[in-house]
Amino acid sequence: MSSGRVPLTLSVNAEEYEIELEPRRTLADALRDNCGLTGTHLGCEQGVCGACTVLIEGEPVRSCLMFAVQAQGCEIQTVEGLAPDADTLHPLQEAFSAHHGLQCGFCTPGFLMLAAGVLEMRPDIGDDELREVLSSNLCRCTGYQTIIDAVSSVRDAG
Amino acid sequence: MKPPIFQYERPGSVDEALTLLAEHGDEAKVLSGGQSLVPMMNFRLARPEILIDIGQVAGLGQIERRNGHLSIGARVRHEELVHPPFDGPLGALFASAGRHIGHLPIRLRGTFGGSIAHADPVSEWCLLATALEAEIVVRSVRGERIIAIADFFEMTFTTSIADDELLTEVRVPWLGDDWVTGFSEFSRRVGDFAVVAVASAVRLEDGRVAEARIAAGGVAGTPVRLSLAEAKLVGRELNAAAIGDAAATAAEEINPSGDLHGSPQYRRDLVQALTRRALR
Amino acid sequence: MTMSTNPVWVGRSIRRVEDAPLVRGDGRYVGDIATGMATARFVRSSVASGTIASIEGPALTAADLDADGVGEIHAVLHRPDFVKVHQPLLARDRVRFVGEPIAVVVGRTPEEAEDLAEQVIVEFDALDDPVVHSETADSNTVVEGRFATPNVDAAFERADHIVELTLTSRRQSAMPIETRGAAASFDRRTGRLTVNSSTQAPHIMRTAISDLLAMAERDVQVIAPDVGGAFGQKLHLAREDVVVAWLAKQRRGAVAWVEDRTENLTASWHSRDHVQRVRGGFSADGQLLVIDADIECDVGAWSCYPVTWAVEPLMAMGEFPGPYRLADYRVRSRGLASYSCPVAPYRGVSRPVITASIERLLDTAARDLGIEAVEIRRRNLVTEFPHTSVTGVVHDEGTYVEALDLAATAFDLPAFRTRQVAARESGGTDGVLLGVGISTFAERTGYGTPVFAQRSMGVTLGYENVEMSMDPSGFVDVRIGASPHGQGLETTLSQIVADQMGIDTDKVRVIHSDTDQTPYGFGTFASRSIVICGGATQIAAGLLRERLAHVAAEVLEASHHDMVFSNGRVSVSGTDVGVDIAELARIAYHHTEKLGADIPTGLSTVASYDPAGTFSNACHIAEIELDPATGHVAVKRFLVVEDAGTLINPMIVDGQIRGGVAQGIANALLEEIVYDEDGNILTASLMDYLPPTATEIPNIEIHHLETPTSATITGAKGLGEGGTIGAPAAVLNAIADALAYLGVSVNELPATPERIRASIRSRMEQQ
Repeated sequence: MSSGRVPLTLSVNAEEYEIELEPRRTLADALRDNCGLTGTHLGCEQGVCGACTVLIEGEPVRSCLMFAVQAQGCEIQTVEGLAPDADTLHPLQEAFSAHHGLQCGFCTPGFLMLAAGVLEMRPDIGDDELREVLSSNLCRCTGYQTIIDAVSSVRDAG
Repeated sequence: MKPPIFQYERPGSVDEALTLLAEHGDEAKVLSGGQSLVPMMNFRLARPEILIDIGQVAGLGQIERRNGHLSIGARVRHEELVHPPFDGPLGALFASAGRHIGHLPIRLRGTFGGSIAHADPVSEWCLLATALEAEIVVRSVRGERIIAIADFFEMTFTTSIADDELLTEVRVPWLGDDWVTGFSEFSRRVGDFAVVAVASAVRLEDGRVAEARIAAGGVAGTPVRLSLAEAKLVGRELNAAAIGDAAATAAEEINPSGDLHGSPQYRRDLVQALTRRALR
Repeated sequence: MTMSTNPVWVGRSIRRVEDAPLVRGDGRYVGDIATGMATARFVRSSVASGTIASIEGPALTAADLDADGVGEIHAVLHRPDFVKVHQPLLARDRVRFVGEPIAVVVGRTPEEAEDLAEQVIVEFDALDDPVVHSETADSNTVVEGRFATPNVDAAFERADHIVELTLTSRRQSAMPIETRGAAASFDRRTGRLTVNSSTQAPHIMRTAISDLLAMAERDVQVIAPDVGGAFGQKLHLAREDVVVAWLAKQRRGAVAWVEDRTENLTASWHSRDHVQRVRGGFSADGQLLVIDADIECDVGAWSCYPVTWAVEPLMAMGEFPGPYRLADYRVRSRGLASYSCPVAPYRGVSRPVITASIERLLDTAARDLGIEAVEIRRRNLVTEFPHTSVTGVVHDEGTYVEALDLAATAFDLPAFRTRQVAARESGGTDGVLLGVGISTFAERTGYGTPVFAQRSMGVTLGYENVEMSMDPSGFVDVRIGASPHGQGLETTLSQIVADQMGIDTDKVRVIHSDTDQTPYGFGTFASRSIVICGGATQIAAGLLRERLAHVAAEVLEASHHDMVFSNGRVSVSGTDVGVDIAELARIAYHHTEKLGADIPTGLSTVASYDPAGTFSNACHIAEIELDPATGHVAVKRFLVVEDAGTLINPMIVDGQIRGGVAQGIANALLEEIVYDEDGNILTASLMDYLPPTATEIPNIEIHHLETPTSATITGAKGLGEGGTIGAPAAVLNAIADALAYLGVSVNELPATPERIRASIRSRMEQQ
């Protein structure tokens, strides 16, 4: 491969996006700028804040720490793919609202995808481990407990 | 913070990767999990002209017992070793050290070999490799080379891997049930880099210490063995008095420099406490 | 007078209308608007103090701004001790902090912009001048406030016990998860400039941009789209935003700048950075008689617009007594410039530090005098209202002692003491120590022009206007000058309107943060929006209700005094005779022939509110575990008793408390911006600057007292900053409590593990 723009097909939320970009473009930027999916946010670009979290093959990853070209052939899910349709929210999205797990909303997509991935991987995750996993992402507004409550409630509802 | 331009290569096999390294070695970096390398590229602190992504290379994912050692392939993800498919004192050590590595999303992508090759002096796996006297297997078009851990870490972020070599495997000598292992780390927040970390492996014979390995990270440019502290244990029961002696010696035998996250004196205090806690 | 029925919406924790698009990822933040736009990137100084010898490369500089007549930022106070300094948008020939913007490049993509910026070579000559701005003379003092009651020295003579301490609050960053940024576009058809900015104050920004770019204000539109947190860091005019606006105007196109995290940590407003030397005189039974304070605030290299770099030292001076009775007080409070990133208010604004000082003073006196921490506060908290402090600040009714008592009871201090003793006795070398710390404080909120006018600022902040209208279908639009960014104002204002008008909240839409669509206002900061904007909203809704009542009177042939608004209908009081509000609205627009000639057409009102302010109050109690071998502190329990008057939406109130306490805990334990001797920032990434994660913040237990205040027409008080104000003090007191057996305390924010460990080690070496 070269360093100039290359064609790439990304499979995001079960749709194919045919885009063209430099290999140095991160997956986060590709999702936002090339695919028009701006729900995934950038907070640090060094893999600490987790605002860029998406699911790759069902696992939560920091999309700012991957180049888009690495994601060819992978199933990617972003926050835009969580809700089943325009009239219905995913249980996690409902729970975040019900528990006031968001204020400014900027970290929210990252937390939603982290939670969605973790609950799928470890549906019976214990409280202590859940708090530890939710420590992967930063929030500046909520003080975290309402986020923990929201995710726990979805875990408990099975 | 966007990386500078680079040429991207994605070899399909170890041999292809080695050919690329032979051709581009000093201008290239190997991309494995990316959790350490990509942030450095985003900061433009690492500026490889060629990025060799070994994400598609097969045969580097094993965790197997072979001939008295544990063979860990370079691309084994951190999280696989946090819930290791092996038990005994090694299983306990890997599990307790590995859960301190970043956070889950980092552990799902980051790789064991990547950590070893990155050579961060406070990396948990680098510390374990040092304490466990691991051997590092590297390959190039010139053949295979086995590097003893004592010859592997040169200084911060620097190993003796040659520009055209690829780290493929780490061999950890197997420890039987006559060994007791321990790990203790101090970091400011969960998931942060350790300020100081200590790993220990002690073999007991008739209730006394026959061999002792104590390694510390965060007290020098590479992980170091605390040989004077180790000597304080040999021949003694592993009790509070012996442990206390070893811990006090550990604090004296190191010569740490200070930085933002800890002054030399503070790192001495930490080494003492963490040595005590690892050995308990 | 028409009345709606008893409150149906106010006081309920209804879900936020803001949530649905945000959880779907459909929020629109500046970075989202910027995709596809040309990208600006700033070239920044790598020296703290120097002159620019040369700039080479594809960049625009101050010279280009000057050639276009672009102005400089004047952040002023009209008081004799305030030093006025004019700030160019890009450094002209002298640089004063590492990270100061010097030049700007524009690339087609963010990656390309960074490549171009690397091609710009700047040569500096180091400048070894201790004076940052020649206007200040040698002291670097930019403002100096002094105050003294006449008998301070006599009061110290009278005192039975004197406590002295120095409290150091190191630099911190508000660090919102979304960094700053602006996406500007010039419309060639209309000649207008639209600037989307992650700002807390769009109208102020519009006026400033039009001044600086010499444009008619009507040709500038500023929009704050969704804003990803601000906490004060996005209140003040960003030089970079104005440069981006200028670039768009110059290019007659679109240009965007999204700050990266390194820029945010190094060149976006810093905060706190005080040294407070405090001396307190007490009677033998713990009465606080007198305080003498010397406060120094490092305010960095430039002032902030509009509140100026004086606000940190002067607010500290004026509000130091806090919720306590204090008859004698002397203070000198200075702002000192330095070769570092400019400082601006961050949530709490000086009060986290003065609260920490006075709370440490009280606890130290309590320990010295053998008085319980709760008791010494009981003996000193104000109990009679209104209370005018020694500096002339008026406190409306509050529950300072009641909050303390409720908190102490809810916490169960005796049970804690038992556990604390047990932990110390059984702990051994690797055991942990337990500690408990209290703080009580009053938070000044919701104050408008009457208070800001006293500060003699270049812009007197204060009022809020609300324009409200009902359309022919019965839906209400509320256009406000406040600019919420996470506070849920769209929801809470709809609750106020719904109660005033007897309609459902889903009939109400709040429009904000677009200067083309809203009346002039001052934005959202200083815990003001629910009080001031909420008050204006309530007034406007009442006026709109009156208008509808007149229409109903015509339709129902009754007196407009007898109308009851409830469940979307207007009825004649005491009867079943009524009409749907939606029908009334239709008549008001389409059948004015049915209305008398004296009834105004349409359904629109405007209201204004500009109060003097109100104090909310709280008590915080923190329980910590301290590991003496490492100095690590974990907050195990945190309890808040809060009185914020009438709570419009308790869920949203609790959210503000939780978020504020989290920042306060982090201020106490984790967050610190560190410079080296050359003025380089060592904490330029999130691995070195340490905001808290979910592990560091326990569940906050919240109890409410609700004392509706007569000082605001809604009865509500502001409270958004309270968490940051009280939490650091509570944590510092808890640390001192845990280490009381050693006689060690750490009067530093943050009290890092290393500092705690060093204090312990030094005490143990003395023994």
